[in-house]
Amino acid sequence: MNPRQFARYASIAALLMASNAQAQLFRAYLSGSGNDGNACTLQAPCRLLPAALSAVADGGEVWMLDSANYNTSTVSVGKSVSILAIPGAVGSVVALNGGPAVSITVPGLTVALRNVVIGPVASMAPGTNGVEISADSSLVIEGSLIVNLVGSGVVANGAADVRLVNTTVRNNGEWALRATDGVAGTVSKSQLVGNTLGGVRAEGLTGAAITNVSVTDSLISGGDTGVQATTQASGATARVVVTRSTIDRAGTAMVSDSNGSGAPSIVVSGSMITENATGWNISGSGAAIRTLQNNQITDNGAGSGTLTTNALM
Amino acid sequence: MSRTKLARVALAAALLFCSGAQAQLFRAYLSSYGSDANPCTLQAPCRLLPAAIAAVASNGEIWMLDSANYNTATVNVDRSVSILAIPGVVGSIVALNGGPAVSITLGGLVVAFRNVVLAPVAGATPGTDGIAMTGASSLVIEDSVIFGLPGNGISVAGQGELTVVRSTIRNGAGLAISLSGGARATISDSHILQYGGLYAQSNGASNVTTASISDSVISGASGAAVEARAVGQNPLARVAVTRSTIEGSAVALKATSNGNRNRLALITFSGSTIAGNATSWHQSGIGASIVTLGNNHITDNDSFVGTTTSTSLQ
Repeated sequence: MNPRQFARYASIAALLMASNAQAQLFRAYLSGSGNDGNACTLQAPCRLLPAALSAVADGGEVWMLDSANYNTSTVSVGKSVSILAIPGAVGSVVALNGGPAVSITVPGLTVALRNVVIGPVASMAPGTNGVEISADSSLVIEGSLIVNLVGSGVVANGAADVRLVNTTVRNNGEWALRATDGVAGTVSKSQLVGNTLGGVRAEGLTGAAITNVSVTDSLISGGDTGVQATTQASGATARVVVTRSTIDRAGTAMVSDSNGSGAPSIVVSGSMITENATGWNISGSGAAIRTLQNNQITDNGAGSGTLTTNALM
Repeated sequence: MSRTKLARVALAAALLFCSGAQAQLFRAYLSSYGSDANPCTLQAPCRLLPAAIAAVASNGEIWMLDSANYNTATVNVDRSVSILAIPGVVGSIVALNGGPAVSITLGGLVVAFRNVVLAPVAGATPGTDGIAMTGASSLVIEDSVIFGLPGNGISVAGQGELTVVRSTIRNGAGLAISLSGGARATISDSHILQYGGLYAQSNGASNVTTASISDSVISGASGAAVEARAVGQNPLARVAVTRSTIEGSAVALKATSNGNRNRLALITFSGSTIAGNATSWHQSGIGASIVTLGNNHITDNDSFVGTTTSTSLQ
């Protein structure tokens, strides 16, 4: 579609949506040449994400039209929205000045990030994490890169749903994904590489919530820990299920531990666990790592604790 | 304008325009229409990688904005940096005049290449490798293509760490990936085609050279598709392969040591297809082992040398 056709269709769509100067947009546009004094339309795009988020309707979309950075501080997402850079563009969102790049604290939202790059601003006051979600909302990150942050790639607390698909999270200072106290997480076809603390941590720290993360068709490489399930509260459950994935070059590939309370567990099948300084570490009452007996677990340092074997069905 | 608003605008200007004649940039820009006399900003991009590397801050980024070649000699990377071509463009880096396209000699760096193409220059004096790393640094290559080089696609000599993801290394004359002297590598979701394969050598001084290969294809390797070799004093060379295909190569899996049980060369593989190779496995030397997890598809190969051993899935 050429730009003229694209503009025509966008205009028709805008008409169909009965837009006017006051109505919120079903699709808001950002550009490196935009201006936040604009209406965030295709013809007059805005410059930064907060302006676009103000302009877009709940459930709408924000399109980054060209390669540029689209925030100057934490982007607080307060409505359901899909934020994407169009294919061929790099949509950059940065974390700086002690905050995350993106924050979601409102419940009941469905937020998607697609084809975005979340990173730090070298030589400026560092930020913390890539995306923080602390409410009962749904977050999907697709085809994106989260890299070089001081903190973690994604930090989720509470009853949030978090899904990482076709996404690379690497070289961050803490975890690729840290899920706490009730999060449901999915990591699929993604690469979690060189994150200092590790790949995935599911933790039950307070209360009796179930925290559950599945890792499928993915690579976890480097860092202190590959995957960890940990509980520190009575009744808490923390689970990580790893399928058709590879964990290598970590300090410890799999850690399941508790302080005596709760039930942390890791289940692994169809995966390769290799070249880790320690294969696994199981410690604390209730902790378990279960293998489906179809894994290549070779060339690691000796594990601590006994693996439980389950049968494939 | 209030002071708060002024500060906000100033910060925005810094982020949006990466300005500042002296300050190093968090993001430096390259373009085919750029000039190395420019400050490497979005509005005034540079032309070649050395200028952008000099301009960017440590841990910063370099963006190639349009399709072009971005070097004229070996690019020496001397700081942590991510170098990427924006999606939809070809960010070319060439090897010529007897050198590699990219050289990393310092330790302690984190260097990433994303969506770049490393290639030779037809008609010019040939170069050698795509990327040659001798420093104990971390190198990540994502979504990239390395092809047609007279030397190795990627060479890591020493204590460096290499990660290759969603990339293709093809049609070269040397080794696709050469690891030695304690290097560690992870290869995932990648293709090695018509090149020399992955070679992990531990060459003495008790060093440990390792690699893991997942969800990848190695096809048409002129020598060994995967080789672990141990020489020297108490070395260990080890490669693990899973969910991968090795086919059409001279030798699929090769583990060799030069005759001492303290020289260990080990290949372990599972869930993989080894088919249509002239030699399926080549195991020689008393410290050399090729270990199957019993769930591989090994078929239609012409011959083998030595023995394999088996171990159980867990």
